[in-house]
Amino acid sequence: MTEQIGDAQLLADHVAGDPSALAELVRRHQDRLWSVALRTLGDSEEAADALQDAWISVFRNASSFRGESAVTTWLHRIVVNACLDRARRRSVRPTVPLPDEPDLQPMDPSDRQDERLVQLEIERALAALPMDQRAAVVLVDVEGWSVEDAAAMLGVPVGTVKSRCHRARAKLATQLAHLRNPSASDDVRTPGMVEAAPDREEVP
Amino acid sequence: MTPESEPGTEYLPDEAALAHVSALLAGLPRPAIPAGVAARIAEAIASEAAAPPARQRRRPYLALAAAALVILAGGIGLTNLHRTAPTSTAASAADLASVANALEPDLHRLQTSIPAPVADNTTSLGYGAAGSAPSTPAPSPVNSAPNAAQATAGMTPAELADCIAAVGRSGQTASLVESVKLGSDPAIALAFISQDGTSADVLIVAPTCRPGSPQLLGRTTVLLPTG
Repeated sequence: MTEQIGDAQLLADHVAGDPSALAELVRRHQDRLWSVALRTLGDSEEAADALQDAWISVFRNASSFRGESAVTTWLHRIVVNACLDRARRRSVRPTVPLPDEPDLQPMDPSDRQDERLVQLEIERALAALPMDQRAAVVLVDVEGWSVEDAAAMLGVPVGTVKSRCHRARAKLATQLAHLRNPSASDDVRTPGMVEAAPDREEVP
Repeated sequence: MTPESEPGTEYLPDEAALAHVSALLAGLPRPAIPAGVAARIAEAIASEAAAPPARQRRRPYLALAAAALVILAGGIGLTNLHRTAPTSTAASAADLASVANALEPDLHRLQTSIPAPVADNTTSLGYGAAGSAPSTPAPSPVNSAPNAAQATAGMTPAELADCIAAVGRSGQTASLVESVKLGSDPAIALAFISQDGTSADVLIVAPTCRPGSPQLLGRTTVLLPTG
């Protein structure tokens, strides 16, 4: 049995010229990074472009990795930056793309149709969030990163991540309230909700 | 109180609602990367890796940065050296010498053959005999490195665009974007090649280069190598 080489060593090997090192790093992380890109951008074509940009950036700038964070944190930061950059460029688009059907889990005969619909609803609600809130809540709630790690990936203070996540959850709670109480009509709010105010800049 | 909320201005979902949202999000399945996307990325990386030409293409641009740094370190005084307000990245000769050491090994060989300047504010960058000014235009390095500007030296493309605008090059494409170090501080070398391909402006900026604060640490014009 061979001992698994660490991510940092793979990066170092890549910098040293090992042609297989980056391929192994891609293999290890591509699914997770794809998930982040897809859910951050809400569009598979954009996500694919962003992920490709990110990996090319990793290829070219591997020597700039200083080991001050985990490689996976560094990779996530590059991917998130690539996503945010693409999102900024397409910000003039008036529509919110829906997740593509093929991006869902492969069809399984045992899947219940309502579970797939719920998943679509959640994806749709996520896609409707402002980009900064979506990126934060995807990293923290969907991907399970700590607030501190997410802050490092997003390049913002911890307090900003908390604020963005809170706002995102609050909006999602409203959007998805009917999933909590499926019999309620759309205009029935979950108890405890008050009217929303326009977004304001979060305080780090 | 929820983080940074003000009474009456925020959504105030109850804890159960927030917990429900978190549970819904955590329960989303992680989609596997589609085979087509994975293949596309692998192909893009392979294209990068299989590019002795790419590395060769970068040599002239890397050499531009090296030339600028050597000139600055040597205090030749022919460069248009502008410094912003003193910062921790202000370049000392020792810092700049260490920058050169931090560059790629093949640069060190190039540095040893950088000839003497041939004109005010202009430095000939040749690989041949010292002091020989190029007599023919450079072999259009601009066109030979179409993706060079995509190397963003740790900056996001947007940050890079902002920085380029901050140094007065708004809308232009840098033919070189390379991470370098000033002492222990990181810096970035940018090169903008003239339209006729015979010279380039090389700028050394701090990574904090932003609109309104370009953090320009050094600047020079170099003639491109011939042949």
